[in-house]
Amino acid sequence: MEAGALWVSYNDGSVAPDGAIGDFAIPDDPMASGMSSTFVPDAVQGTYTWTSAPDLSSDSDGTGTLVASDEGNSPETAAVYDAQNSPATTMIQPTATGLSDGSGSSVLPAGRKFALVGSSSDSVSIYNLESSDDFSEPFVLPVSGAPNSVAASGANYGEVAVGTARDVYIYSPAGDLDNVIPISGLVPQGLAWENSNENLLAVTDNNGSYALDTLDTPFATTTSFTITGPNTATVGTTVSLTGQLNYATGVGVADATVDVSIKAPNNFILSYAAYTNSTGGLTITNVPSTTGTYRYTARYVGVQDWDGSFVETSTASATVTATLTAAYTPVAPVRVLDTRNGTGGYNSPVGAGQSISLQVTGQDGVPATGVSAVVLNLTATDPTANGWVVAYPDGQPRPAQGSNVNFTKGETIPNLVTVPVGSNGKIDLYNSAGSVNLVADLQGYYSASGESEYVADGPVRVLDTRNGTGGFTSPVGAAKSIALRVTGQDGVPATGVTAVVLNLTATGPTASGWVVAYPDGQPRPAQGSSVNFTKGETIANLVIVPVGRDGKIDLYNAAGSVNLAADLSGYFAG
Amino acid sequence: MATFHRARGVLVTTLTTALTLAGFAGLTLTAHADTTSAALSLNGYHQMAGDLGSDGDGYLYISEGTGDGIAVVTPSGSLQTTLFGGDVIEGITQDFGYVFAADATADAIQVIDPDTYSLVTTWPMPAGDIRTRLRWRPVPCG
Repeated sequence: MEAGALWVSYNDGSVAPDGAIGDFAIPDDPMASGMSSTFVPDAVQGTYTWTSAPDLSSDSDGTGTLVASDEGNSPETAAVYDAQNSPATTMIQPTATGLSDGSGSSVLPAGRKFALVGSSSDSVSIYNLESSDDFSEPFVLPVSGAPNSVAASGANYGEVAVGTARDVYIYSPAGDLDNVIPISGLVPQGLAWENSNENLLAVTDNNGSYALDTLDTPFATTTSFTITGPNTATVGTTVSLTGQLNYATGVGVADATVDVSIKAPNNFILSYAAYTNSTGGLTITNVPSTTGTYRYTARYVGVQDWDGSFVETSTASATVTATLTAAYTPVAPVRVLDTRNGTGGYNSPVGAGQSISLQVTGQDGVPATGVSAVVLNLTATDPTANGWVVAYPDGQPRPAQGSNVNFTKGETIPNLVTVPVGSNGKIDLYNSAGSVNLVADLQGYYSASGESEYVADGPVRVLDTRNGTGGFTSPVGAAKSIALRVTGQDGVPATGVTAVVLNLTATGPTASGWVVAYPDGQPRPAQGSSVNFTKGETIANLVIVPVGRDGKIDLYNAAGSVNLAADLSGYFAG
Repeated sequence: MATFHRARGVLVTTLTTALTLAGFAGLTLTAHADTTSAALSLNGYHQMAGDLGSDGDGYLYISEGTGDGIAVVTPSGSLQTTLFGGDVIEGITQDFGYVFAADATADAIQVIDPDTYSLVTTWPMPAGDIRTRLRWRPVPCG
């Protein structure tokens, strides 16, 4: 029973023109049979002729690929045989690819079925033996200088090492150049991977003096990825998280791009790219603009395998709950800016790339001093292009990344924002594109002498007019309001609560309109809205609503009828 | 298009392939300090093979191609023994638990037990053959 064959190339002058290949059949149990075998010449010749005894390479994992290549005999360069058949059949003869010789060959691990053929033309070519379409378009790995040695790492790795007169190149299975290892003054004549596939061994030639070099951990196999950071942060203060991209082999990493997304409590997602440093570390910074839980997710996409699938993808996440060191003082919503009518000192839309400065302290119930941040319901309306607006303290640079309200052309959309106040009591509002009218309704402010501190609670649904949650079973009609009890239940104390934090959703409106939330028992604000919608739209916004003396808030609907849902995520108590 | 970065900022080259590397702008790995086996002395180099023997010692079999036989060395370059000293070993490979050496002086394939570094058997080839490279080729059993 034949288990395999040992292929031998030879040249004894009896074959034409000068080179041939034969084999020794090896039995299934060579020791039991005494390892006897007889040489069978010319077992693999196919249609190819050799000008010398060719260089041979085969995989050892059973795919039966045999690569033969001439060494320095142009133009005949290489042939690949399917040695599973008997006699073996010729698969490809990649002579038309510009290879000037076939100096060296290697076969990638089983399952990948690529053959590697060395070249003297500053590159190494890889052929996909599973597709004849690829024979004429080899996968080319560039190197600087003529390669003189190649080696493919073992099963399930597939890294390729290529030696030139000066360097050893390490290519990942995706064809990414993982590393170039300079061997100053030495010529790597031969390469071999250790059995662990972690280290590469090179026999080097230094002007006729040979040595064995161990190229330590020249490639990476697997990654791990972690993010660590504080559990809590302060609104308006930079929070910093640390990421770490690790390779199991301990190899240093540089210049790896990591996609980072930050999901804010209002579900807005900010994305940007971070870069690892030489030790694989990276830093993610953000300034929380509102209270609640931020989720930071980083994703590293590693190399592709030879078959195109990603083999190294790592994702890590961390959450940070942003709170306030200063105490909150809610105010009945009051409009402090409306560029449509001059409220706040502006009576025209904000242009593209333009910003406006808005005084927010010393008026509308906000103290002139000691205010660290204000809470606004910021609405963009009538935008002439898709874009975004960001709010930031006056006198400070505009954030390089981040936005508070994102809009499409023609859309009216609000968002609740917490904005640190500049030393002059102003905030800036920047518009990215087109022109847009801005409306800001002040909800409250933070100061050291504030009356309330934030307490996280829920989230819990406290209102849904579609199913009776909260005591209401029908849509809110036009110019109608409902009074919703929010204290004394769902974890909210019965007394001492100054405001609640709700994610307020309007759904199924029969007309375009808006809803405003305000304390029960107080007049509805003359201006201001909490959620703006168009007919049929479902839209949500985060709101901070002062609570009436009776523990209730009012929700007023301006037009048509609309179902409302409210999810409580915390409250302020003093 | 994938962009490949040469280590240590010397060269950036671009390779156009069918690959798309979403979210991946390049990765450079830096090798740790490499070591050189100062004690190993070879007169040349022709081929080498790793040891897949059952003892897992990971030794290397290096044929110098100069009539010095086979040097059996540890991965750190420490010479353990020399096999077939005086013979020109034109090729060397391993698999199936054995090391196979093409002995041009003896006109034969030498089969070596990698656990004991001893000769198992010798397969003669026709006189005058010049053996260069040799490789194991498995075929299905059955």
